[in-house]
Amino acid sequence: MKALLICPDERAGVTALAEYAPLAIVPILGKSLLAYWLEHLVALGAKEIQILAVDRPHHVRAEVGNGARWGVRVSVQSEKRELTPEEARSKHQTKHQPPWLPAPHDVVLLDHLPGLPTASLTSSYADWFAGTLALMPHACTPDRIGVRELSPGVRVGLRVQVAASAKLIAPCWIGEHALIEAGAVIGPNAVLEREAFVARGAHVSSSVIGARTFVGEFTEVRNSIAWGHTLVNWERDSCLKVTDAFLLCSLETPRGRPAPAIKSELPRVREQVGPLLTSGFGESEPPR
Amino acid sequence: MIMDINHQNGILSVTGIRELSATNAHRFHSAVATALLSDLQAIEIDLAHTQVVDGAGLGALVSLYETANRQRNKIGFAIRLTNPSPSVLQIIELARLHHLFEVTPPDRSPARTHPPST
Repeated sequence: MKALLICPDERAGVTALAEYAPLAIVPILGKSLLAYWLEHLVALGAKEIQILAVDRPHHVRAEVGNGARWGVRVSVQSEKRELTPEEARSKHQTKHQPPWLPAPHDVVLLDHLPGLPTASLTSSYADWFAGTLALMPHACTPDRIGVRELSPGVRVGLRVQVAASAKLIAPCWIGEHALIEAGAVIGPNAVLEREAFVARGAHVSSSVIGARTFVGEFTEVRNSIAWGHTLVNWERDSCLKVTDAFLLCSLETPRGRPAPAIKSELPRVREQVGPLLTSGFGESEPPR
Repeated sequence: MIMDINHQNGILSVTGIRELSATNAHRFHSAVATALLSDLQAIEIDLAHTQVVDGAGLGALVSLYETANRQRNKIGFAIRLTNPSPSVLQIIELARLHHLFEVTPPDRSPARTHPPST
């Protein structure tokens, strides 16, 4: 059985999310939209899956490889523009191919999660966040090694470090290798993707913190999607590029350099904290 | 740095700020701090034309708050930030300064009121 997946091209409603990776491979609770659909189609009996990508097809190819991870044959084909499912059917479904999965699973546009309401994830940041929250109760699947529910609604991945005085409020999802420092409060409705770093005293609620994103000491991230130095308020649909690394920044290293352990990045970031906020303001003369 | 500072009925109004960043934060602080008078009840900073605020700009606001409180020997002197753009409001909230200042987004009631303590 064969199936075809269409990766979404740029979407005006969620442009900031596509800055770091094509939308199809942006992690949602540790896995990409593409991975969720590959798993779903394989469970439905697909043996061969063709992926159509307009936005950075090489990234998509690197993400899925040849599909061996899912026990399926995968090929990625670049397209000049995003096809509709109907256009993709007429262009790619021919008589001499193996049978296709029954519709609608023969051709799927990757703008929603399998098994969840079909509201588009990619129409707005609020929809992306709502979709992420909707997935949370279903994401503790047996194939996720090491994910456990610490208390009802509090799910944590492998090798997560949480300070004793940090507070996790359900529902929340803490991705693998995430680090939460003392006094931080995570939740409710918070998602930390893998290797997110929440520094001392920070509060994160109704928000997603992207993979390898640093949230500075005593900051407050609310109703937002924070990815690297990009901060999107999904409620107000506003976007900010944070220029001060001590508030919010990416922990990604430039390509070609080995990624240091997440904790070794902390001193570099902290060096910038104190001086920037406190220095340089001399006392003026009091009024006479 | 072009900005207007007016004193009326115990309120110091600061308007016309285009940017509050490392390039002008010190000058902003000096200009406003020197205009603090003893009968002052509040400082109102209009951010309607402010396109950029960074950590240094936030630091200037905090420092101004501390200066105003120190001069009056009390805590909770009111500093009002009015009409911030959505992105400026985001950085104010990220740094949690909306708990310290009264912030009034355009055409809205105050996002957070922090009445001066006596």
